[in-house]
Amino acid sequence: MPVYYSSIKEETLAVRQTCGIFDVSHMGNILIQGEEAQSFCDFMITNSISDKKENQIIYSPLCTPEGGIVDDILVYKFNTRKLLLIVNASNKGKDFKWLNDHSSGFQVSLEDQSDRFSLLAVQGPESSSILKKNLALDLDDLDYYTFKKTGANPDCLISRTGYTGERGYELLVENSLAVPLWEKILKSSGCVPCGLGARDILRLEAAFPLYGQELSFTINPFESNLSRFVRLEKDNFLGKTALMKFKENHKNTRIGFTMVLNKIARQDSLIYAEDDQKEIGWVSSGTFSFNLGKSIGMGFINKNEIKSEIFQIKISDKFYRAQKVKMPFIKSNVKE
Amino acid sequence: MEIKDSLLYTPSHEWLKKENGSGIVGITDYAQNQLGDIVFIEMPEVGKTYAKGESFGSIESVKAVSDLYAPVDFEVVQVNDTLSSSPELVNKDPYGQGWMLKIKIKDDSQVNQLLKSEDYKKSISS
Repeated sequence: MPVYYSSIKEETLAVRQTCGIFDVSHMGNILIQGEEAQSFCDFMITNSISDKKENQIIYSPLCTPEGGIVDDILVYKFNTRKLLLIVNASNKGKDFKWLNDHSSGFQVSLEDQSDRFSLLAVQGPESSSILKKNLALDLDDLDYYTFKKTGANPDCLISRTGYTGERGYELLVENSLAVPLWEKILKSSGCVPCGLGARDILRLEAAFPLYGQELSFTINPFESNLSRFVRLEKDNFLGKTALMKFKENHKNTRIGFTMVLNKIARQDSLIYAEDDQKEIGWVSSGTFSFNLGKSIGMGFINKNEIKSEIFQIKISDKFYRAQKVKMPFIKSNVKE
Repeated sequence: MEIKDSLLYTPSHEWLKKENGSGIVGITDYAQNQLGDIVFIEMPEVGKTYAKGESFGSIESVKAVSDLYAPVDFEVVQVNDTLSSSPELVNKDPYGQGWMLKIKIKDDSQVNQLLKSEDYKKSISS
């Protein structure tokens, strides 16, 4: 996936206004099958899959026993004996080993299918009309965070998911079908190929966390504002004891900000209090939002040090003012 | 990648158009293309002076922020104020509407040390 095809700006605007297509085949996918596939999955994730119906999808962190985050993933539920995990590219090897290392005692088999499948994300307000027109797909019954089969192969799927905050779909297909599919979708005017640059801005405008920036072994889900994906009432799962403590007591919280002056605050810049210049946190992601015409970012601040909506960020030895704002930065249109 | 024969260049990708004792400064087509969509440009104030090689401002895209370096010793005579509201002009027209400064050249002998178009072309293709 290149950083951009035409321009980061044009691609970012296209997804909010019409439609963009992303080749996200670098993402990993791991199949869990067997008698205890569902109970194994529920033991590994912090969210709950057993109370979901077939063809539903959930988002969940995968946590260590200490409550740190191994990865954030999507779980596709075919049925109680077959589940598919979509995982971050940079974590796929680590995740597969993590799952394998914890699978003894469960009747499950795990398969890393990452090398066999490609994933195309079609995102934007016109994504459904473009897919209907070019692929003759019936999408009317496909609700947000559900999936269904496309075509003859039972493992080729379309899901109403994405990483942009816009209405959109993701198509999981065998590698040999990916290029023809990409070309078929792009036949329509109004759909533009988009790269990593646009993907990062769009997910940041939607305030979606990115592993390695808003999520890591040293950040727990409560610090990253993911409490709604942690189901502490579940019987037993990896990290439960630690997470119960973190729920009551965690040090930092994820915040969104816009810069007062024309400057981008980039990852790892330090955040200081407005008045006494005490260090209170760090920037996890920062960019320029072409849709808002503003420099935006996310970061982590010590909860006890939030005394003002204004703070300062140090960028190459100078202090710049930033304003704390509500997330997401743009209204979510995923269900529209 | 456009390189104009009528301009002089620095290895850090600024261009200088010389007009008697004064000049116009901007960044090259190659530089704007490397940066991608430019979102912010920090320009100096009129009247300030800079020594050759000194940073006179900065230019920021989604990908990176870069310093802008003085091609020769100069005093700022005029700043292209349009760039603060329309930084994309540097992407669209780096040698025209995307010009940055009009300057008074302090030391004419430094002009001869700048790269000619052929040499600049070699420096970016190597």
